[in-house]
Amino acid sequence: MSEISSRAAALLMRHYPSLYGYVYVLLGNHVDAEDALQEVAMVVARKFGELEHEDDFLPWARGIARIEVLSAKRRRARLPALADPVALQAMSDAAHDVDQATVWSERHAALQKCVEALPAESQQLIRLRYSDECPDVETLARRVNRTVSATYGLLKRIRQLLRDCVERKLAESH
Amino acid sequence: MPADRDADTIAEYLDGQLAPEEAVAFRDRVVSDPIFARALYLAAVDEAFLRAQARGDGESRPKAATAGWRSRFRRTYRVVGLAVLAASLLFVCWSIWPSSTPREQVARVERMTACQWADGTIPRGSVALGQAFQLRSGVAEFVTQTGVRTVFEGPSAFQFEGADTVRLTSGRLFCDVPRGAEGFTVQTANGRVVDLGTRFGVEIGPAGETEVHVIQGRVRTEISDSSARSELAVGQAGQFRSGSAALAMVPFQGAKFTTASGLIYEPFDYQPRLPLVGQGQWFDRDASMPSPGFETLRVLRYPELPAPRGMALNLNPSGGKATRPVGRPWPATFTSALIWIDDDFIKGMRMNRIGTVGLIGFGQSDPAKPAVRLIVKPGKGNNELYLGLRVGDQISWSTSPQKYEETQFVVLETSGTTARLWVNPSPTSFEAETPPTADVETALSVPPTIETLWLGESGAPKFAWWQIDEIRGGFRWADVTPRAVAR
Repeated sequence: MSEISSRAAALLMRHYPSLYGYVYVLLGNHVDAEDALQEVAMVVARKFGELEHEDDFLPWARGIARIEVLSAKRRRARLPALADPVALQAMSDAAHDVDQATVWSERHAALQKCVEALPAESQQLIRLRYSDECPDVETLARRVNRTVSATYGLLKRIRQLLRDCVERKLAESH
Repeated sequence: MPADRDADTIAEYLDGQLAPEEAVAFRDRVVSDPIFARALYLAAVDEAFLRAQARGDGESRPKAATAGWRSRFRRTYRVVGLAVLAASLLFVCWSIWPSSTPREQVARVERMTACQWADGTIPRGSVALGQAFQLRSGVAEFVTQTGVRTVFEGPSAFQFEGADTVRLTSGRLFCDVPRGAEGFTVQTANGRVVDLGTRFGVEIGPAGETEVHVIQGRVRTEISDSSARSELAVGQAGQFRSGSAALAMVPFQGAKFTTASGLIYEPFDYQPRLPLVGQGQWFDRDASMPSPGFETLRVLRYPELPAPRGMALNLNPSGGKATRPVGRPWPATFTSALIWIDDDFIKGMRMNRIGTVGLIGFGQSDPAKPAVRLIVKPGKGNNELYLGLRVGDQISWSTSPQKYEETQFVVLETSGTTARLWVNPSPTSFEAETPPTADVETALSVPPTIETLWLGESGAPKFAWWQIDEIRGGFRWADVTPRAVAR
C-alpha cells in the first residue's frame, strides 16, 4: 500500500463513526449506510491526492459521502425521512457545527469508559443491540427473554446513562 | 444535551421506529431546529461508535467484553480496512500510471461570467473525469470532448462523469448537443435525461425534483426506480421524481435557461415583501438607501415572449421606497425588459412639472451618474408617454407615443459609440441575427464603460410607481428577444 493510500485508510478509520453517523442519519438503515460508506472509501482512496490539508479530511470526506447518499437514495424505492435537499443541507450544517465543537477522540474515549462502567448485563445488551447477531430490537428481545417494549425501555435507560456519563466525563476533563 | 423527550425521539428515529406521520414531523424539526439536528448527529455518531465496537466480536462474554472493547474496535475496522485496502489498490494502480496515462480529460472551461465557486478556486482549462464543481453564482460554460455545450447557472452543483455524461446535483443546466453527439446524458438524483439531438434545459427544483424543458429537438427521460420512459419534443416540459410512475407534464419555460455564459436573466421571482438588495446579485451602495420591495401587483406579458413565472418588481411604491437606485453587475451590451408605468406616475410628473424621469441606468459605480439612461416623459394625450435615451446632456425620444398602464417591451443596446433603443419591437424580429431599425439611436463621443445596471434614478420623485420584469442581458439582439417556443 502506498504512503498516500495508507494515510487515507488511517484517516478514514479515525473518522469512521462520524461518517457512518452522518450517512446513517440520512439513509435511515444500516444496509444502505454500509453500502454508501464502501463507495465513500473507494472514492476517498482514489481522490485522496486532491486533499490539500489532512485537517480538512472530515468535511472533505463528508462531501463525498453526501454525493453517495444522493446516489443511494436514487436506488431506493422508498425515500428516507431526511431525503430531500433541505433536510440534507440541515444535517450537513449540523454535522459541520458538531465536528467543529467536538474532539471526537476524547468523546469516543469517554464513551468507551462509560460502556465499560455499565453493569455486565447492560454491556451485553448494548453489544447485542449493535452486533450482527440482533439486527432489530425484536430479535434482541427474544434473545434476552424480554418483551419488545421492556427491551426498548432498557435500551432507552442505558442510552440515557451513557449520555449523562459522557457529558460528565467530558466536563470533568475540561 | 437534548431534553429527554427529544433524546427519545432521536433514538426512535435511529431505531427506525417512527411512524410515517412522525417521520414527517421529525424531518420538519431537523430542518427548523439546528440544535435538534446537532443532537441527532451526535447521537448517530455515538451509535456508530458503539456499533463499530460491538460488531468486532459476536461472542456474549460480559466480562471479556469489558476487557476486549479496544481490541474488538480494531477488529471491526478490518471490515472498513478491507474496503479501503481494495480501494487503495485501485489507487496505487491509478497513481502508477499518471506519467504515461493522464486522467481522462472530458471537457474544457469555455467561458465564465461573474462566477463564484464554493471552494474559492477558479476552474481553468481542462476538466478531468469525475471532477466536481459547486458554482455559487454566475454562469459557467463548459464544452465536452464530444462538442456538447453545457451552461450552468449558479447556484448549482455538478460533476462530469464522462464526455457524454454530466451529473446535475442542484441548480440549472442548459445543453446544446451538436450532430454526432446524440445520446448526451444529464444524470440527476431522480433519473436520466438523454439527448436525441437537441437543445434542452434541466433544473433541479426546490423539492429536489428534476424538470426538463426541450428547446429544440427531442429528449428521452428515464426515471430511477421506475420503468417509466418518456420522450419530450420541442416546446414540451416534464417533471419527475425517483420512483414516479410517469413523467408529469409542466408548462414549457425554455427561456428561463441561460443558453450561453454572458447572458443574464432576471425574473424577480423572489420571496414577496423582501427588499431587492441581497437577492440575486442586486446590491446597494449605501446601507441606508431604501430598496424596492416586492409588493407585487401584476404579471407583465408581451406577445411571443416567454410568459413570466411570477409577478413584476414594483418600484417607487407609495410608501416612499425605492427613491434611489438599486444596482447589479451588468456585463452585457444588449438589454431587454418589460415595464409598466402607472397612470399616477405620469400624472404626478405633469402636476409637479417634472420633465423626465430615469427608469433604467447603465454605468459604473455611481448610481447618480449613469452613462446611458432609459427615460420617460408625459405625452400630449391624456394617457400617453414617450420613452427615450439620455446620454450625458443629450436626450432623444421615440417618435411614437406609448400608452401608460400597458406593458412596454424595451430593448437597449449600449456598445461602442452607439446607444440604441427599441420600444415594443415586432415579435417577427425576435431571435433574428440582426436587429430591426431602432426607434432611438444616439451617437456617443466616447464609448462608455458599462459595468452596472441601475433601476430607478437618484432623486426620483416619490409619487406613484412603475413595474419591471424579465430583464435579460446578452451580446446579440437574439440573446434578449427569446421566443416562447423556438421555431
